[in-house]
Amino acid sequence: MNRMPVIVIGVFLTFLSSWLGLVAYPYFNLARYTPVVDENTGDINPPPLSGLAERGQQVYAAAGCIYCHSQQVRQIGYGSDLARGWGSRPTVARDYMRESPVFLGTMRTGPDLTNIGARQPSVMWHHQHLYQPMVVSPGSIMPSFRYLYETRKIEGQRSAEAIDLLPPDNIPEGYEIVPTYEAEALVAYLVSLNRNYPLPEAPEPPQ
Amino acid sequence: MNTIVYLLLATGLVFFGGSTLAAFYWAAKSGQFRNLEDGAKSIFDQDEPLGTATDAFADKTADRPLRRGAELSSP
Amino acid sequence: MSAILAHPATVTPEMEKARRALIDESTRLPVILFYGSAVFWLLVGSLLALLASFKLNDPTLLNQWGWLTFGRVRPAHLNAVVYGWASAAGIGTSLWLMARLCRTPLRHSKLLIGAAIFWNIGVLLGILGILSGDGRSIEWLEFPNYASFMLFVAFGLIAVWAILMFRFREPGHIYVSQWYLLAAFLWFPWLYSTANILLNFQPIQGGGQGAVNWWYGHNTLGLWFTPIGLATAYYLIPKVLGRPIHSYYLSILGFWSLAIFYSWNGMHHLIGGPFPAWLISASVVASVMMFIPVITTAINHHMTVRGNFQALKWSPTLRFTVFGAMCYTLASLQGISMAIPSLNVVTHFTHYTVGHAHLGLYAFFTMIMFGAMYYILPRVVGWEWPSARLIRWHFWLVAIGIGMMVVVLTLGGLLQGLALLDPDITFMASLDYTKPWLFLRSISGLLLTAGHIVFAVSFTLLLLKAGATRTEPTLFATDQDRQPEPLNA
Repeated sequence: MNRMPVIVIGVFLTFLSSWLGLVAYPYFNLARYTPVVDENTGDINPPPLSGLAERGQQVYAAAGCIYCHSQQVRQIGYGSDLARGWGSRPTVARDYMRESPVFLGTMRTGPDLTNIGARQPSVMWHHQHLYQPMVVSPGSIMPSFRYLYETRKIEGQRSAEAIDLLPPDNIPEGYEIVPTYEAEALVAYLVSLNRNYPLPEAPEPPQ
Repeated sequence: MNTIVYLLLATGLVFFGGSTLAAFYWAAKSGQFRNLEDGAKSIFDQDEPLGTATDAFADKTADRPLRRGAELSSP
Repeated sequence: MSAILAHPATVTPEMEKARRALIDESTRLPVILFYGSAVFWLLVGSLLALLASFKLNDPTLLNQWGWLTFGRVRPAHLNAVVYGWASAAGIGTSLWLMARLCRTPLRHSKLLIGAAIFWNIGVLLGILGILSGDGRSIEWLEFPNYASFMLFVAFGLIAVWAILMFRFREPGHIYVSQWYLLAAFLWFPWLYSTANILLNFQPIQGGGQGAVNWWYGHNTLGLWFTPIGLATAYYLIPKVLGRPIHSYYLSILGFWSLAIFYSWNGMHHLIGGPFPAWLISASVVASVMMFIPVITTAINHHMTVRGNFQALKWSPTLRFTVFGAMCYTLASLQGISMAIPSLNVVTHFTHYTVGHAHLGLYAFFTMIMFGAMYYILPRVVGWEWPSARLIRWHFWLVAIGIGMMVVVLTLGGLLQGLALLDPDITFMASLDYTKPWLFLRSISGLLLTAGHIVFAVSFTLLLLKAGATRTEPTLFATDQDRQPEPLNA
């Protein structure tokens, strides 16, 4: 055991190396992305989020969607993400440059949401799904997010934002269900989730 | 703000890394890695010597009048 | 007292006994504070876990309130058991071990009492924060800044205390447990501060966050809970059996190889994700290299207990601790296999991983902490556990409960993973596969919670001195047992 100093320095250097590799490297190389301008369309990719969608990101974090839904499309050879139609290409670090916290996720009790805005662009669909998930998606075990909605008495005209419930759920006569600001924000974020735009470092794999 | 992050990370690195290194270097120098066999026995003393068990259910001690340590195979 | 501490030339067994009692007693208040809060948070964490589990069986359960939605209850459970229970139990155990192994009464207990107060306020604020919607959705770091700051202060106090204790130790050999403890006390603040700075205080871009998140998340298990759990096992197994660890050399080797390989492991949670291939590969390689520390530790523990497995019948401490040590090996080997990409592709994103987490944090770490509490508390308070029956109930409830939980989550997770892998099977079918297993998981959770309630009752009765009317000590060998009498006398 008289090689101790060598081992000691080795131990320190390896821990340091993990710190450099998994902390400093990501800090300098995975967190300094700038958007790319598409030469053909002039689009900025990844596109900036609207203010409402940015607020929705925080609602997503507060509601803990990440505990059942991932937001990453893995490369070919790692699962059937592409074959399931969850995206047209694997996601890369630049896709997440506007995300904080990042919702990569580690569970798929529910489907991947990387491109949910492309699959389900309808705002009304999302409201109905958040309010009555087991009706919209039979077999689902997603809880209802009805705490993000208000049931209120219709005064005069039914308001334009009120959501249409699907049977068998129904609203008492003379009442309506309206999304709160948080629900509007969450849905704005969900419909904004569309990462099928082109990036130079992430070509679409051949079908 | 970025400078603060740099400073915090650098200070953390120097402080924690340095103290780890210093601690390990000291241990090697002061002979903590010699005499390992004695080291293994350093948790025993005359009152609780080798061969003495130090934990048991009460009712299990009753039907086991043996000296618990003696019953164990010797190390 | 000074005579006891001065270590005169001739030391009698009586003096050593008195000295040990003095050292144990000096840790009383801080150990009870940390253990007491740990048991409290264990109960809170169990209730949150049950609620989260039942919500997966019946999503309409209590879904009218935002603060009880699944996405908040689940992280509240995780943080309650990780910071409230496991960390506090680990700190309590470490304090006592440090005092014993430094062979000196505990000093500066005010630092520790302050730390315990900050710690509990931090955990309370954190859990309320998560439930009220301030949670960060960063796995293992969900606490909002105002709570993690409290924990960091508590940590600073404990680290300062550990260094002070170590300075005033009695000269002599530094036992392997102390290496593990000191390393854990150095590694964790480094991890916790770095991760909080980059993820919460001044968040970096999302792509980098994933890497830092899992560097932290995995290292919390590997460089905080694992060293504390192993330090405890390395002390208690030899101490209870009265025989030294099988190979002290292996134990030191195990320590260094853990330090070398563990810290790179985290990225195996992100295999296939949006990261450079070399980063993931490095993590996979380091994960496989974990074979060395795991096997050295497994051999060592097994060989120490070998020939004395009947001791598990009569020693409650050993029963829990050896159960935990065996599960350390199991959990680690499982973890290594899960880092291999061809298996990871099945288990990733499924309940298999949840089963693995419980095998590590519960079957390994928590069981060792229960064992430690059974050994330490009577020595610290100076009287006995009230009832051996309660201890047996506790053991069998939690042992069966955790065994069942790991098995059902593993099977359910495998079915789910295989279904997810096949694009011809609908997503909903992959979910349907898990439902019966998730129901069984809730049942196993009920067993665990029942075990925790039994333990909490036992713990409370001990503190109330309810069992002290016995004339004989319940759990440790009496002096009479130790008399070198002839066997047939």
